[in-house]
Amino acid sequence: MLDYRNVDYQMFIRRYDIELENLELPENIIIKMLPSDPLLKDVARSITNIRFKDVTPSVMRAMQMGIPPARIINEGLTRGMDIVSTLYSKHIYHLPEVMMASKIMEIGISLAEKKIPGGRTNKGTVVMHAAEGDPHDIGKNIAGVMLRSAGYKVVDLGKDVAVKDVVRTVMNLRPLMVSGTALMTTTMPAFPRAAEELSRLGLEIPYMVAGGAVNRDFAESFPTGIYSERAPNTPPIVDKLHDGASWEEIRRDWDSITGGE
Amino acid sequence: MTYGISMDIGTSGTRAHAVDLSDGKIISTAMTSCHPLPGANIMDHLTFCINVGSGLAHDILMDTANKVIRNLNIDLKQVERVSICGNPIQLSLFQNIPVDDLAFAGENAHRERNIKVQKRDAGVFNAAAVGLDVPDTTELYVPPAIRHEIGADALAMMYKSGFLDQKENCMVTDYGTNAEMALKVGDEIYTGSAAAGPAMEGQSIKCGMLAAPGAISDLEYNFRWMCRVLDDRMNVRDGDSFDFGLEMMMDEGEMHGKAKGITGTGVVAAVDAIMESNLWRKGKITTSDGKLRMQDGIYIDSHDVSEASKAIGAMRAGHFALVEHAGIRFDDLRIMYMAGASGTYVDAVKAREVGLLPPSCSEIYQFGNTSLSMATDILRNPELLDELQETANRIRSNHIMFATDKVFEEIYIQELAYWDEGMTLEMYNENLAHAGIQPLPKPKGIPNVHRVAERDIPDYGTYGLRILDDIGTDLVGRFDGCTQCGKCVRECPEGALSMDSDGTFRVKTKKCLGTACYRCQMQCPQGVYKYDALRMV
Amino acid sequence: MNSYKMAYSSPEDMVFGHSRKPLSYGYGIRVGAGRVVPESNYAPRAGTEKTPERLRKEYVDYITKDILTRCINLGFPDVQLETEWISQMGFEPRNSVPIVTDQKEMANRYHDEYGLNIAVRHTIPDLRECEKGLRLGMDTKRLYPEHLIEGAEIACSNGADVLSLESLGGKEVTDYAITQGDITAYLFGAGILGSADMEYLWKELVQICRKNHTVPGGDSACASSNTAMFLAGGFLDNDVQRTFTAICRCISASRTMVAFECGATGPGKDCAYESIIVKAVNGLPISQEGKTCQCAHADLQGNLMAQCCDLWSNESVEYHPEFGGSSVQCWTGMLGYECSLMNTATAAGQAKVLRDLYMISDRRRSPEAYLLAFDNAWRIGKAMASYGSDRYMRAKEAALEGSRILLEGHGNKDIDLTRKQLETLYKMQRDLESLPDDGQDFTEMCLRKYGSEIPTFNPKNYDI
Repeated sequence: MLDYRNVDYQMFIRRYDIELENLELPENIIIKMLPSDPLLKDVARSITNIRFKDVTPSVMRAMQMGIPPARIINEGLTRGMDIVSTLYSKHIYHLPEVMMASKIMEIGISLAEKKIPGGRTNKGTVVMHAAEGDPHDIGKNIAGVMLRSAGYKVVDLGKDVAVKDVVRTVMNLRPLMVSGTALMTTTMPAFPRAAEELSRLGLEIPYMVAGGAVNRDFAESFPTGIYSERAPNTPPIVDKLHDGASWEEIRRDWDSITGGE
Repeated sequence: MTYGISMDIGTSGTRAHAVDLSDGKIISTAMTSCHPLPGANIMDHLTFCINVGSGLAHDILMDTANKVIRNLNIDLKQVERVSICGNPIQLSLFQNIPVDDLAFAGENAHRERNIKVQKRDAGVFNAAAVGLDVPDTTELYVPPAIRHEIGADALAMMYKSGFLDQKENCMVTDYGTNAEMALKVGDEIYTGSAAAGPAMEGQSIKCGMLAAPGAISDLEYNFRWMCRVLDDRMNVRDGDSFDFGLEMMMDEGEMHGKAKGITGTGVVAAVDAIMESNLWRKGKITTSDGKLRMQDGIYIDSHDVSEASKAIGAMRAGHFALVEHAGIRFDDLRIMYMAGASGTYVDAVKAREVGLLPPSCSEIYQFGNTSLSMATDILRNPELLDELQETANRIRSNHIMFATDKVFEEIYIQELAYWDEGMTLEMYNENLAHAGIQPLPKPKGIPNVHRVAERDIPDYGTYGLRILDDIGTDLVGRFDGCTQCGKCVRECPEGALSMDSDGTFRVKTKKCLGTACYRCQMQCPQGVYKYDALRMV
Repeated sequence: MNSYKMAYSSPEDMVFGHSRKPLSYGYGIRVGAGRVVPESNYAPRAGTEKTPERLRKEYVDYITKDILTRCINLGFPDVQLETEWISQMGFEPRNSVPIVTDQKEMANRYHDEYGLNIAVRHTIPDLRECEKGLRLGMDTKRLYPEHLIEGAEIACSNGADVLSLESLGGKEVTDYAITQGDITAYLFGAGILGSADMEYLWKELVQICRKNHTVPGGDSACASSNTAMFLAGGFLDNDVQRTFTAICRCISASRTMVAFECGATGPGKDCAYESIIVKAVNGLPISQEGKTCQCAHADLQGNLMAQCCDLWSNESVEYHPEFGGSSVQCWTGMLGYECSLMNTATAAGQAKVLRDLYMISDRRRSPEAYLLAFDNAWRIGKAMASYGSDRYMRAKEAALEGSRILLEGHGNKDIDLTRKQLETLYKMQRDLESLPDDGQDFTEMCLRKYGSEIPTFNPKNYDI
């Protein structure tokens, strides 16, 4: 008999069955992660299936049936968004779907939130802005959506934000992190200035910089500065900060934190 | 004999004609192959002005301008008129007008910094007073900006291409690192400016280079993809042929062994070849090593495509946003004018295929350097300046600030997902439908391409063209506390920095990446190196 | 005279799945680069052509979908589809747009979803009639020559990966030749007229392909040489001598090569049995058919044809149900398994053993099979190549070399011939040897001889 063990069978057979088994179908991922309560399932479905129309009725119905608003947020809306994030990380969903899903989630949250005395809790606050003199904030908006979806409260100061306004807001809110984006290299020196002002005031808050103008070298050229290359890198970095990491540790582990996405 | 000099102060170089004022004929042409200020784009130049001072930036630019006009082969004492054109930043640097209103956008920044917005109208000035080596009586003609954000270069592109006279809907774009674009529908003109980034000039691409001997400038389809390579006289010649799907070289061409890199137009051709060969899947090139290998080790990898896609995505989103704001369908837009060096040399069919032109364009006109030709027109007929000011005033321009435009943002997000995440065009259009935006059609048929100019500068004049490679501007300085360890010199990625034995540092400005880099300063172990303290000698 | 350099210096170097000039196209298809690709062919059911939409549905939703799902189900890594346009599509090329685009779109989806490598070949019909005129502008009433070019434009600009054609030039003369047993007429019809028409068409088709980035596949001598082969039939048939059809095949190789001289790159057309001779000379990849085209016709070299193929085809099967699924699924299964066998042989280092077995099993079945055996085909190719681009002399020389090989083989008892076959062979050899050595002289001779003999023959169709 011919020795067949060295015959490369992939040259003439393609095991589509094995490939398909390893390929996780989006619907299977969704079903596995959906909440079991049928009312909450509908809430989550409105997000996973990107259905603007469905979110309000499903949240209203859940509230009418007596599910506490906090549970609707945490086990319905947030879970739906978690599923979308999972699909995104598996390259099944793309950026536009994440943006739309998060808009749907925001609609649901604002409905449920009204019924929570004292408002809802979140994982922490992040202050975001585009640099003084810089009108470019698409990247910041995308990252903001992703942070909200990940459960953070985002205080978005907008674009062309004066250094003193950044400093004042950070002073008042004491956030987990402040982020600044710049597309124009002229405007990026505002970040070390703001960071310096903050440390002068005794605040050591990680200062993330991002956007086309900056690079990692620049971000790490001043104390507290950390870098985010792409919007999807931002939530994992903030998660680390939330877990107690310092800005020095973020710099040290940057590759492994951002490479995981 | 009396002469005039017309100049295009461009971001990637200065170009000038000497003109015989008696008959308006071009005598000679001189140009630099780069800008004297450190950095590769207007943002780098602006940052240099802000950090180091716009006076020094002006001096450096004038130093180069004078070197250029000295190479025009005319008696400078006989120069009566000088005219210039370019984007507002370059013209302001030339005229020594403050640029801080351009360096910072937004009311907050202007208030915080006491910035006054400059008027950049047409005017006649004294050429010697701005620092040109010409007689005291020589007049300097400066064409108007249309408004704050839209400079004389944009006016030139509209004026010289025939865009303003076209009755049908039409679009014009100046293809550069910052792409000026305009769409005309009836009497309304919609303008915008897309930050396309440096990929169109072959920069930020690993094997990228500017057009020079040994550059792959195109890939020609002849059932294989044949590299087209610039020879020593800048003529395009046949290189090796490849079947990219097979990852095999099929034929050797006469330029075999001579390629050194790839230009921006070559990158467009490579992206087109990747798409045509169905080698792009889920944001990656699907060849065995993820590279599109061309001759002599030159390649494009997935990251390069991603870089190029930033330019393509920004331009496509820009064009798309203008079409949406004008309220027309893509099918209503047939005519496209392409200006600038990249707009002249790129294969327009491939450019449309990858998305640099609206897909519906079936009549494409490729113009050369419209800034230089408009400046030359002004020399021949100074009264044109008034006419241009009137035109500029008359243009009812609706400027769309892409940075703050919701339509642009919506489309740009689709572009990001399309290129980086491999989202399909079907999804792209489905998502846009949610936002009430029309679908992006696929290019159909083969457009008629009219090459109005064979070169970006069609007429070099009787004495021909001189190219100044060495502009020779250095910034020098010494730093207290420097141990002369030389780390900064070693860290310089461009080899622009050198150190004399006495600890004097010397930066060749044309090589230096400027504020986009600053690695010399950031790597200084003593923390004493201060880039901004360097001065011209 | 410039002779052509043989792409293969020895017939022993030729083997299925490999060509000297491999190609890549479509969604991940590579031909001649180591792996044989099944090429599935089909025809719509009668009646479905009545409306364009019903026809689109037949081609796309039934046929294409059936084939692609069967490939996934059986684990075939590659498939090429060949849509041979039916005459209704050729008459109204515009109506074919949805068929071409939707087939491509479905191929894209299956490639994306499963990773199946897919390409589509479109073969446009030649509806021209020699009585009405073969060249553009001649048939002012029905515009068939114009329709042909328009069909090519439509196929290429809407997504054909490969374009092919079975052109009819010279058929009025080769038909006469076959019925009269006149090898001189066949040499004129195929070698001179067919070649002239091929050059006329393929120069244009290659331009259309280049413009649309479509691979110009090539042509086949279906109209002439396959007509002869079918008329000669099997062992019960005796009307046309099989030595005659064998020599016709040699002459047709010269004609089929013209498309490649005009810039076509292959893969050659499946029904071009002469492609093996052409491949020996120019090294381009070829599609072949044999035992797995019994749905379309019987031939006497069912195994042998696989010997050096790059794609393996079933010629054409009408869409209808079988026990094992639809007909296209069943025949695709056969193609895919045959390719799998060939590719297994390659992966196991046994390709040449399998090639030889294929060849030996049919070598002595018929004179035509004997000449198409790769060693003999290579010899014919070499004879042809020695005359380079001289289409007349190389066709004549190919025919003479074919006669010599058959006579040698007969002498060596390598191939048995009937008395009638042998007589025909001697006569052909005498006829061919008496012909002039110059194509112009030959053409003038033939114009005198056949000008009035064949009423439908019009020299204006060939610009001579």
